[in-house]
Amino acid sequence: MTANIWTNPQGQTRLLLPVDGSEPSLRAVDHAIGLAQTLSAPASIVLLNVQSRFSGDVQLFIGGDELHRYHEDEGRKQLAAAEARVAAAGLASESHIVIGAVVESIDLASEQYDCQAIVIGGRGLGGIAGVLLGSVANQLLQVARRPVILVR
Amino acid sequence: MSELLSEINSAAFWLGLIQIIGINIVLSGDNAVVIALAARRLPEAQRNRAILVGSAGAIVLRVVLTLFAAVLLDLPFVKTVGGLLLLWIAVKLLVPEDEGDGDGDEGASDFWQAVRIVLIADFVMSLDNVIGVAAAAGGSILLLVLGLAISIPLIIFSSTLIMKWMERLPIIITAGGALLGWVAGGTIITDPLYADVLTAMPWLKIAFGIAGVALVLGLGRWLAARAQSNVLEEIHPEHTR
Repeated sequence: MTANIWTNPQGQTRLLLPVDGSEPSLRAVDHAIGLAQTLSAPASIVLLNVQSRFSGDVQLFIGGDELHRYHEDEGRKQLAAAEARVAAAGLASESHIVIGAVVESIDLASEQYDCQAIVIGGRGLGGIAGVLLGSVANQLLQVARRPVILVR
Repeated sequence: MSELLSEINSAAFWLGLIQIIGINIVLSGDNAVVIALAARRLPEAQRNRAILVGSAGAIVLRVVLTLFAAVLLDLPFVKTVGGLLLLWIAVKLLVPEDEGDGDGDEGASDFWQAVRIVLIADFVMSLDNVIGVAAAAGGSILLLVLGLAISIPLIIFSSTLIMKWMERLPIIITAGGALLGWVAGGTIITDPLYADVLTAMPWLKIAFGIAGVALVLGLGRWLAARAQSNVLEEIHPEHTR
């Protein structure tokens, strides 16, 4: 297998899937599974859950360890359904939970985990509503450094 | 009684009510998080009771504080300071902070400890709500009490839902910041200090509101761009299958 623009140097295609447990994000998982099974290069799914930061005020009252445990618990809950679908399809996968701004973290993760594409679910708010509401998917399309596949 | 009815019939009353509820929702995310996290380690039956008792105390505390703030706002100069504070609160809402190591408690292990954390946290953290709500009420006690009565249960019982919305639709936070900027501008110019100027040029109230919105959104956007981190913060060791 020779490496090309859709594979990493090891000849693998890695698809980044930002997942929050919502219906659109699970639809994106199904699309990514189908895509991964179609590719001739060995493909793996990188599941990413982004937890939003709490403000400094919260830290005044709740300790850092407790906050991390909370984020980890929430992250695992939000990842569970997607992990089950990927496992059922028999694909290689890994899961990451990160804390930070959602859009920026997804973009950073696509570089850091060396993913060839990001597959993300949108809520299907097209047109004016989508522009006005500025969803995560729409913002990602503006800033992402790796190719984005938007699943409606 | 008829005075009360005519107040309820005015457009200003409903606008004010919507403003109060909006401000409470965007500024209460933190409080809701602390309430939920403080009681997380208690057994389930105790947990719900701690949340209920803590929230009830927090509601009483907040109503008293807000009434106090509303009375203070009638004094000259207080509105100017309050409006400026509100501008700062609005900008802070738009700029995410670093989540450091955190030096708070490691979650409560007994019932009264949880209640205590909830109460103290709400007292300290509701300062921004109190200023915002008192300013939006514009001196109407009815508006103030109604606004609080409607929004507080909303926050306690749907805190996670509201947080999810704010996460998925960042425009809610932007809109909240704009609303606070609008209220802040209006609060500053209606300070009794400038009563003469305002009677001569009544359009200044709207101009100050618009200026408040522009200032908050501009400054917020600029600071948020500067605060953007380019390091991924992973909390959970990768597990590969």
